[in-house]
Amino acid sequence: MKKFNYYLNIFCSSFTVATLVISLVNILSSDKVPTAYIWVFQMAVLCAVITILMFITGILSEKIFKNTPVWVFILTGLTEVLLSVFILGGLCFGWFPFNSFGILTIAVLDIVIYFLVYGIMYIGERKSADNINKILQNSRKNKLNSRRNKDGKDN
Amino acid sequence: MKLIIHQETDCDETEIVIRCSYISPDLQKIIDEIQLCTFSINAYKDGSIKRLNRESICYIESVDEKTFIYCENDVYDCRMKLYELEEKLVKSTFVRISKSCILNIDFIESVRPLLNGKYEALLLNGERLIINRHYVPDFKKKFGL
Repeated sequence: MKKFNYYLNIFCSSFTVATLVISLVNILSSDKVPTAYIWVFQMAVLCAVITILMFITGILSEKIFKNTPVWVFILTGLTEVLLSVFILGGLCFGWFPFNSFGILTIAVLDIVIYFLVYGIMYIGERKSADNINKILQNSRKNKLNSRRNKDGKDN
Repeated sequence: MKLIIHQETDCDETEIVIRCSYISPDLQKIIDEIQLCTFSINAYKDGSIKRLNRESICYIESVDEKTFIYCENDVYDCRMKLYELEEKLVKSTFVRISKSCILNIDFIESVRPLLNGKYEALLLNGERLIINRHYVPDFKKKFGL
């Protein structure tokens, strides 16, 4: 269940960040990008596909490669994102033209979104780690105090 | 449930006897606690056997189907399989952190998240262990998160 929550978190974060970034780009640029409601569902499908791909590669990397370096992990994630966006967004949904400018713009946007999502995920994990460190610190303090009390009683 | 304690000065070994008609869930909890407190394991090093208790074990690792017990300063061989030890220690301060390692959380100095969803645990003896992404949820659960 916790694992499902982890991937649900990735899906929600990527969907939110991607929707916000693309909407912002739409407002700032003069290019006409599809703004119909269906676009939101298409984005949800894309984020779901990326999350499923990440889930599969996560399992594979744990089972096959024991110590995947961070750069391989990031590169794999980026490849999954770019492939999904180009195949689903470009070919299936027709979000952007397949010319060098379109491909380059989408690639840069994807990289920005990818690192924003991972930044959000990392901040969440950082918070969890800080909580764990606090619990460890408190438990060490309690143990030290109880040892002192015990020594005091023995003396 | 009655609790009777006989304190005798000439008692060599503490003995716990439970008399009951059936093992209720509450009683099972007590039995589990007692089993954890009295847990010890035979560890082998240089042909000699040492009985290790739970508190002295830092982490347990399986390498090439052999199980090794890491204490603060020593490493011992163990005849038990990692999953057998995990079953016995699951309700204690031990938690599985990778396919081949069980860690005693009492020996953790601090933890930090890595960029690939894994965690790194710094142990009290300065060693660093990686908590795999797959096991991070269980690891957090151990701390009530």
